[in-house]
Amino acid sequence: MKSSPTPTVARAIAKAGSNGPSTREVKELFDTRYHALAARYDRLLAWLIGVQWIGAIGFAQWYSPLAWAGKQSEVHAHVWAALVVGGAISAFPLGMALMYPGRRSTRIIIAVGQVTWSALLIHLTGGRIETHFHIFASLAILAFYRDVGVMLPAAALVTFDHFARGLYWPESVYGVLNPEWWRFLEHAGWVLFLNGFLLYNCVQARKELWLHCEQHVALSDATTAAARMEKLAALGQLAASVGHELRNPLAAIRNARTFIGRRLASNGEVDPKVDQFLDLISREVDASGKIIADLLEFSRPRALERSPCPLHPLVEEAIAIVPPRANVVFVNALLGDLPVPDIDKDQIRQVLANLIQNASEAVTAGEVGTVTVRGMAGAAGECILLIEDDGCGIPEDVLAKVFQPLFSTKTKGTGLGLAVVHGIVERHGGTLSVESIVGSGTTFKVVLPTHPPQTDAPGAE
Amino acid sequence: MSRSSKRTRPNPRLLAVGVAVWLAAIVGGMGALADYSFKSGPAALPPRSWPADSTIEANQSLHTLVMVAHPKCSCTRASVAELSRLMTRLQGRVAGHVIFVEPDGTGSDWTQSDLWASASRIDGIVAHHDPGGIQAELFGAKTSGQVYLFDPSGTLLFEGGITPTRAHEGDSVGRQRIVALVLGNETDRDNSLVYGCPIEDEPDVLAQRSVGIGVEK
Repeated sequence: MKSSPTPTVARAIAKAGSNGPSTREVKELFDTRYHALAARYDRLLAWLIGVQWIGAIGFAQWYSPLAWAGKQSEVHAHVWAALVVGGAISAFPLGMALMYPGRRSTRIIIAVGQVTWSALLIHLTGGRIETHFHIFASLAILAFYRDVGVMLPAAALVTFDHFARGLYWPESVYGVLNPEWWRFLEHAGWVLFLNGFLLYNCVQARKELWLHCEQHVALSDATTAAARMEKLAALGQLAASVGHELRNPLAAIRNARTFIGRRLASNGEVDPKVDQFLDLISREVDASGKIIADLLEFSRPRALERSPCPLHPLVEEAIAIVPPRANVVFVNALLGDLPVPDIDKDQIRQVLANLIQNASEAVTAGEVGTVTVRGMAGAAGECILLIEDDGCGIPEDVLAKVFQPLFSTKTKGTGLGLAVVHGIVERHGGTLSVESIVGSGTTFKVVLPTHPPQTDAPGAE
Repeated sequence: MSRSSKRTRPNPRLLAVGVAVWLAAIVGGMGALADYSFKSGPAALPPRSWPADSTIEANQSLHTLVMVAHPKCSCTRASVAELSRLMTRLQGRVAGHVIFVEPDGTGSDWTQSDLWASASRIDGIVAHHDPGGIQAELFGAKTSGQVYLFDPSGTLLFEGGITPTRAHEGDSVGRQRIVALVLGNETDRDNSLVYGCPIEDEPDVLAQRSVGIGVEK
């Protein structure tokens, strides 16, 4: 394993035959959107708490500015309470909203602060029954968060406040000295009555947000897939045209080279460089022929010829095809009890050979590396193949594009290898994904259904 | 790396300390406010019957309610609000008076406050100026919000406050007792504390207010 100064973890997934958006993607989008929503309401509630503080000071200064004794006066305790107690209630929620917007701890603290403000405002207005509506208004405002974890502490605090007042200061909330012990339950009951509906709304709103995120991810996936299909279609047409047009000239070159080689051989000794250049022509014509074959395979994929095929020997065959490297060890770590899938043997061998060769080439020259192929059965009986290397890894920006046709980081690559692999896996109704850690290695994951899906991808078979 | 992991996260230990300090400050502040609210005013020295020298006439056929008020005491707003509820509850059964004290050295504009306006708006209530606090002294009042109930014969039935705490509206034993006395029902208490500003400005009154003395019979 190689070291990297700042290793980064990158992950990209290319899906084929997927039945819907992944829960992970939806959850990430949900978390991002909910965090933004909660941060927005944190700022709104911070404004409200700040306005309540200033408003309470102004109100106390207007409503009860002075306490009197005959002709003597002093600042009324309510003014100090609005300033100091109001400041104490407000400071922490304001600080949390400013420093940690969107976090649950912030909104719980804001909820506690807002409910406490109700108690202070009731005091400052002389216990006016109208001010008690502030409690219900606060609970309704806190429901903006759509978080049960906020609503329950707020309701619990209101209930506890009534319970404690019933014990130590019943006049302040019930107006009598000896209320029945259950009076706090009566008050709490009305709070819970409102809270019940608000909680229901919170749960529904979160479900709707989740559904919205699911639809967004599905739409995004569909848009990406449509764009990819459009690109592939155009590319396929171009590849077919170019392949067809180049195949004949290449055949003519190959024939001409053969003819020239024979004539020169029959004429006796020639300059050795002529033979070298003729070999060069042969190699490059063969390479061009391979490129054309890839283009035609990509543009006009062969129909699948499925049959039950054990994977362990298939991996052995694929490893045998891959050009060996002195510094790379290939390990076939598949267990013998894997399910036997119905697959097109030749095409899946091509998939494995391509991925194993890529893994081999990821091992930097001069360093020793291992390419391991593992296999396991999935929960639904599908076959999971992992092609792992401990090579240089793939940077995040590259990882996002590896399945795009014509994208390649190799100097001689066509950029069609992984696109062809992806297409084959897709036509089998499987999925192909990759995870990579720069400096540590890369793992390609191929998931193949054991039995072909009832409806194959268009043009599959 | 997911976006959420880049969000700033409060240090759990600092957060716990912050929450503890914050809650302690709130509990302390609200406790101080509650302590202030529980502080009752100086006790009255009430007459046993309607003071003969009073310029205010007692009603001979109905019960008579009298409240003594400091016109600028904002705490007495709660007492006037409770008086309004009492008068509504006992409509046609009681006559009412609110005496606004004008200490020496002040004029009639001293009483021109929102309290005067509020009291004057209550059906069955007559507001009175009390230059020099003579009437208040005849009734023995020391604290704004002090209430007396006399029967038609002029006998004192009740004296005390009609708010649960200082500057706080709501049901109270004083209000319940007045209602019971007027309606001829049994009552379980015969006194209640008075919450409000001291009417006089003697230093000892200010000192008493801070200590808090209840009215006990």
